[in-house]
Amino acid sequence: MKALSIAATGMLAQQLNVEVISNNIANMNTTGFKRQRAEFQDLLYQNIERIGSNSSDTGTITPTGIQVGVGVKTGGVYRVTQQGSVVGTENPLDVAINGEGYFRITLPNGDDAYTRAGAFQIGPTGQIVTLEGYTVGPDLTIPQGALDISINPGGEVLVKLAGQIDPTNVGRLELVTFPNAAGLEAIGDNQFLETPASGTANIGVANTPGFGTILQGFLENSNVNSVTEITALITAQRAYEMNSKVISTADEMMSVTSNLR
Amino acid sequence: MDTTISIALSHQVAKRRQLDVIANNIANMSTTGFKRENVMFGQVLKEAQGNAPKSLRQITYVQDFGITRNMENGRMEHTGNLFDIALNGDAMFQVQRENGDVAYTRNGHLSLSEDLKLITSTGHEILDKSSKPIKIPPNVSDIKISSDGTISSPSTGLIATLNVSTFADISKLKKIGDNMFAADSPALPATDYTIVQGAIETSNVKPIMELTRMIQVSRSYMQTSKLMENLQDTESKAVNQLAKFS
Repeated sequence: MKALSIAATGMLAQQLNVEVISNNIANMNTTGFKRQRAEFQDLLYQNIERIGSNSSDTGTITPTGIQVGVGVKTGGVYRVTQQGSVVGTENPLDVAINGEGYFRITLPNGDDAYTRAGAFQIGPTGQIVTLEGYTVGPDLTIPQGALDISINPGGEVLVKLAGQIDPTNVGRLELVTFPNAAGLEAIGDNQFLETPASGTANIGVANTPGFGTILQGFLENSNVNSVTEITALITAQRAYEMNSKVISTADEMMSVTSNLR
Repeated sequence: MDTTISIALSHQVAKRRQLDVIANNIANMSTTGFKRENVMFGQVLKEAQGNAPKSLRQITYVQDFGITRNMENGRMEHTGNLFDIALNGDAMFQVQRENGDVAYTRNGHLSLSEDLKLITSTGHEILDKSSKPIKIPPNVSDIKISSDGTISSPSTGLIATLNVSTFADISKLKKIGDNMFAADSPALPATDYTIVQGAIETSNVKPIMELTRMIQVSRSYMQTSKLMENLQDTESKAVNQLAKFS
């Protein structure tokens, strides 16, 4: 009886589904978090009676045949790159991207990582850094004694220094887009790495076609929708239950058989 | 007496097969683009030997002779991803298998390969109208896939058109796993379909129907078991009582 093992694959799949959903719910308030979705695929099929096999010697064929599937497997867990809602924080170094794009940051090992979490700070040497202290591309330095920092939608960082009337332009925050942003690899800390599936990074300027705009004083919230997640959680739980019901039914049927005199 | 038991056995074998199919439907309740299946049963007529009139000697066994697939569209789930596309209508996308054959799928969760080709989540290349893999130009991030399958972007213009096909009888396709189907009959170009970008088609399994069908299977299996038990009772009584000499 295959039903037992088929239902077991179903339970495993739903278990993973619940894990993905709970990670989404746990990160409901994570800045720049993109929700994930588990994708499932059907397993192999056993041909008990092959479709198109001859059903008589005059050449008639069976139109449907008997194919019995053997369960389900996880095809992948991927990221949904929809825009999250933007919330105001009034902090001059909090920046959100409205539209396409990622900030580029340099990891301690020299590699590039990408993030949409724009909660930046000023490092000990005046550089704009992330909350982990990693520099944000293209390595901008805020001069000491800056009175006010303003970042315009195009990503230009303007600093007002004491005794100056015009603000000084210290550079431009760069934005990076990918052909397939859903293919980026998450490494935690709201950071992503480029992969073959994401395509190569395309560095550009904010507020130009194909790139989003930069909003100063705002942060991008996660794109997790609590209602969707909770309904998905309920569905996954019910699906898990139903698979366990299949197991108990198969078990019952087998015990009936083994109790036959 | 023995015929009765083997008829009951044919019923039990058929019901077990049906439970396997139901289990597979329930296991694939969240599988992208999955189509639910059901078993069809037929009668196998046999004639018992004896002198009774012919109509009294006819016995029927149960046999499962085929699987029907319900090709109804599944629910659309909104994801908002550029490369997630859902098909509405009796149609299929074409993908290239490892052996060069063309397979068909309704799973529209696409991504990019290392050489910027559009691939399904199992790594199979999706094909355009001229049966070639679709290559996305580098550094393009604003891809638009229209309802007729045209892939374009404002910066590069038309890139390719998805090959969407249909069949004389779409439910006769053969499942090969990984959300893919193989066809024996030639594919026809589909006309009556729409493609939705940013959505995924979920499975069309109706959990409540599967569960009620499962209860039905289990009950009827038990009834047959009961029947077999009763038969054996009768048989043993007959043997014991007839063998008593007084």
